[in-house]
Amino acid sequence: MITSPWSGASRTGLRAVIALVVSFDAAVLGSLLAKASLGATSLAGRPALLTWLPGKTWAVTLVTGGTVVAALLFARGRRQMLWCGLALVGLAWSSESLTSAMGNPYRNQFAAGVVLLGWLLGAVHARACGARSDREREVHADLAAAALLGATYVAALTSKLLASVDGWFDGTSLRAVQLAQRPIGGVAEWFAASPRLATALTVLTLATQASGLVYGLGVRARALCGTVLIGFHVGVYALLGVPYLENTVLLAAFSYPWPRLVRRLRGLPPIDDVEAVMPPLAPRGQLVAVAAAVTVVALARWGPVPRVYTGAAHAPGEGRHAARPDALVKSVHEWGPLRVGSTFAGWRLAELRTEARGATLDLVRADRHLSLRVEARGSSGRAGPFDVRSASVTHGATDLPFAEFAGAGAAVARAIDDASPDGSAHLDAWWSAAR
Amino acid sequence: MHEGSDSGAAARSRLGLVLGVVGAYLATAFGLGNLYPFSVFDMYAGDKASSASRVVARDAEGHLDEVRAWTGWSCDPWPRLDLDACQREPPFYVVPYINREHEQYLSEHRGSPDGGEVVDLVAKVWWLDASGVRSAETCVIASCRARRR
Repeated sequence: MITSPWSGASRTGLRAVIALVVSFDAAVLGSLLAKASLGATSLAGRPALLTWLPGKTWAVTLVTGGTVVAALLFARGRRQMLWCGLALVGLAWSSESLTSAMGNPYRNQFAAGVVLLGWLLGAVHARACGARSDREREVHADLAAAALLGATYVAALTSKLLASVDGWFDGTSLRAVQLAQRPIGGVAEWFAASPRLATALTVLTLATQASGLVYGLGVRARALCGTVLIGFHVGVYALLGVPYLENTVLLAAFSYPWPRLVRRLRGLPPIDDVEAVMPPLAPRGQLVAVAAAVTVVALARWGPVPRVYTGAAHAPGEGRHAARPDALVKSVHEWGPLRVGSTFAGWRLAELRTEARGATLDLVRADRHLSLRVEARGSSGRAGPFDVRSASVTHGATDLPFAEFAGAGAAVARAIDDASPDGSAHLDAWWSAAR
Repeated sequence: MHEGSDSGAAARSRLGLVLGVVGAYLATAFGLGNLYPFSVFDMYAGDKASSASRVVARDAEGHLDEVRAWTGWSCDPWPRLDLDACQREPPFYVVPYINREHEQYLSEHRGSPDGGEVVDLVAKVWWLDASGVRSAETCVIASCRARRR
């Protein structure tokens, strides 16, 4: 039976914790946004809505204040769907504005948004089932919010397995991340020299994240998986120094029967395990729910979304390989289909340097400079804004508006793709020929 | 609406809700990429890394320490920590946001060119294999002056 540790009790405490985490995130985002400016690290392809907020103290104060007020009113309990939705919009605007300015999403702040989204979806579901009051609606809101919190770990697991199954199972990636993240000397280098321990911890990490799939499936699942996931965050902090405070607090709130524990500590009689039970969704309601879900998923996959922003450039960049191999960097006149002096959407290829993993193109137009990098698709583990089936084409840091050089990037990518009839760019062969 | 008794149909409805929102979230996130609150959480999901690097400070005696262990930094020219100065074969693994944090720290803790002692900003690079750390080396990014905190 799918129930919650909060079943039968008031969920005011749960909402209060969610509101606290939302307010904390809003304040952190607000303080960073007020100081942020659009510069070299800003993301290309960002929607105009996201370039407006950074650096405008008065506007940031309004958005942050509005988000906190909405969170507090959500905690109060009346009109939960309205305040939950407004708090989610406020957090989303702040978070994406900061991401577009800084170039990095702050993923530890996604948990609050995920929980708000789940709460909202669950409340809508309960309403469709006939729930009349906020108290009744939050029965389903609690279930959906917990389920979505668990889903974030499944997403992390899936991403790792899709990117590099063997890399994650042999523990090498974990050792590399740990060395790069932790202070020099001491535990970091000892851990790097302990591949068996790294492999064991990696397998444990993947198994722990898999537990997110069943996290929302009942009281026992929440207690067990919640404890495991909290332990995982403590371990990540100890090993990598990466704190996920929001996740830890929310997991603690959703996983344990706090109302019952508090009553027992106070010597009060136990709570009756009686809670509003909504009838199932009517067939028409089920149809609408499925249609809505399919529409959202289809729009996410194929809709008019600024994918340069949400996909390629939005990737945080960790794990990127640095540096060009000195011995292999060579200025050449021709590399595959690219030739110095050619023009791409009005940009002239001024210099072409080959490298071990691909090539760097310096393009000029009037007094403007642009650097593009071509790599074999998937060699960096990241997508680029101009990716084609055969290669990844990314641009270097620039203050130019994306629209100004998007055509050049696309034209270069097209030239490479056209020269790769079997869908696989023969970068190594082009490189060898260029030597 | 009633309290207490839980029919099988109602339980199935709740199970449908839980599985539905999880499935829809994952499908949306993997279709979209990253847009708050949707994310594929691919922070450390890059391709297999066989190396690692970290920017650190090296004093005149060759002792390595964290950049933050020093203050009053003066470097000419002022360094960029994109590690273009460290051209190695093959390329090595970096975590760019950590280097950006170091850059920010250096900018916020500048000092006079004639203060402190000679300190090199270096990238320490480790090469990993199945048995542990195969080798390690350092690459000088900039020669600076700084003083211990």
